[in-house]
Amino acid sequence: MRDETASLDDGYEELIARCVRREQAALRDLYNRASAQLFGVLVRILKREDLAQEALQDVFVRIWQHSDSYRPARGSVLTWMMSIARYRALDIRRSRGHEVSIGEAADSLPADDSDSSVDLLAAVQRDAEATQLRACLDELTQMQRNSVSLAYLNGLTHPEISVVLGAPLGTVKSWVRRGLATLKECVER
Amino acid sequence: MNYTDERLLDALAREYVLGTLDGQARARFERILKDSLPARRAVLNWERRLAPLGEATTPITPPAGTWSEIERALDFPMQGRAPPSSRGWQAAAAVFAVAAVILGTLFYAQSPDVREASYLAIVSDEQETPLWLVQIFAEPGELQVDAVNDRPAPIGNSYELWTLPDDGSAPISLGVILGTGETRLALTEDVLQILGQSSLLAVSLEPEGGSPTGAPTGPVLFTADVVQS
Repeated sequence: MRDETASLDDGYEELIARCVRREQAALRDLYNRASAQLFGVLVRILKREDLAQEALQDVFVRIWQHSDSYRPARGSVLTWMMSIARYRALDIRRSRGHEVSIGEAADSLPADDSDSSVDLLAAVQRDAEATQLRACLDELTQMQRNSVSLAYLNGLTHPEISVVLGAPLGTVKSWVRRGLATLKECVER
Repeated sequence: MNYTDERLLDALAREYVLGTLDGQARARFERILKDSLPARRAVLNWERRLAPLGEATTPITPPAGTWSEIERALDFPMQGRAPPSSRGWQAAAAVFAVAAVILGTLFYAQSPDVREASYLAIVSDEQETPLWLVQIFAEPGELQVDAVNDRPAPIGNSYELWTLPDDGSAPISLGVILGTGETRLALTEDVLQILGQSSLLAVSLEPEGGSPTGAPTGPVLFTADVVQS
């Protein structure tokens, strides 16, 4: 039920409210609680810990500077922060010309079809949205799932996904498009 | 391109959130996002749909010292601030420039004070809007604080000015300052000496009348570099 997740998130919402009031200790509390998860997102996309560390600093500066733009209607505070982290990492990848090794990204794909959903959602917290997404991901083909995962979690572009999966660019774009369309239709059922 | 077409917006939004929208197309879409509520809603919907995917990422502890870098980037006051020599005289030049403007404005507003201050500081907010001009006079020891942009403290609260010694010892209160008009506070020899060894001032929000404990009890709202006049 949403009520449960709302009370789980109360701690974070209070910390953001205190950031808006410019209480520096609140940002430090946010860092202590969430930095590992955010750092994980950054390392996954940037692959290098030194780049990810700089990015993490940028992310917390942005959280502080834009704390007043968070709205509960947009989702949980953690989702908001992870979004800031993802977009920052994608920007850094773009500006560095995607020099990150594609081979490393290929290693993060599951070995066979039966494991793919489980791998993707291994650590997802058990709330209604995650369960629904998990069920919907099952409706995608393995290649559609892999394409969406490589783009969203690893920050790869279409051409890079095409190299990793050994498929033509047009095919990859089609997997991503259809995969997301299926997800959307399923989630909104 | 018709950017009001819902399906097109949805397609662009999902590529944007996924991170596969690049180059010119992305630049164009970011411009649209600024003004278009439907576009922003489309992005938000995709972010919410895909967010649970992101939570599958394994947490990794960041390197120790990252938090200190964040504090430094945001200029959070810490114990043991660097002494004036390493703060650079560019900061001082900036303070003098702003002080000259403020003093010039005050000159016309009231009868001029011809004493020369020993130290100056400008307390500004996050947007660099100057809030208070702080002048520290040595003989006799006095602090004159002029509010530049009227911002009275909330009802039930007072602003209190503190000096943060460079050696990292506890902040020393200089007194309660008003958010409008002028505040004059006497300074003892001891406090003047400490001011000579501090490069940072801070303003905290306290209960009305100031901190009851002698140490800051409320949040530190603003800080300012002290420069020698």
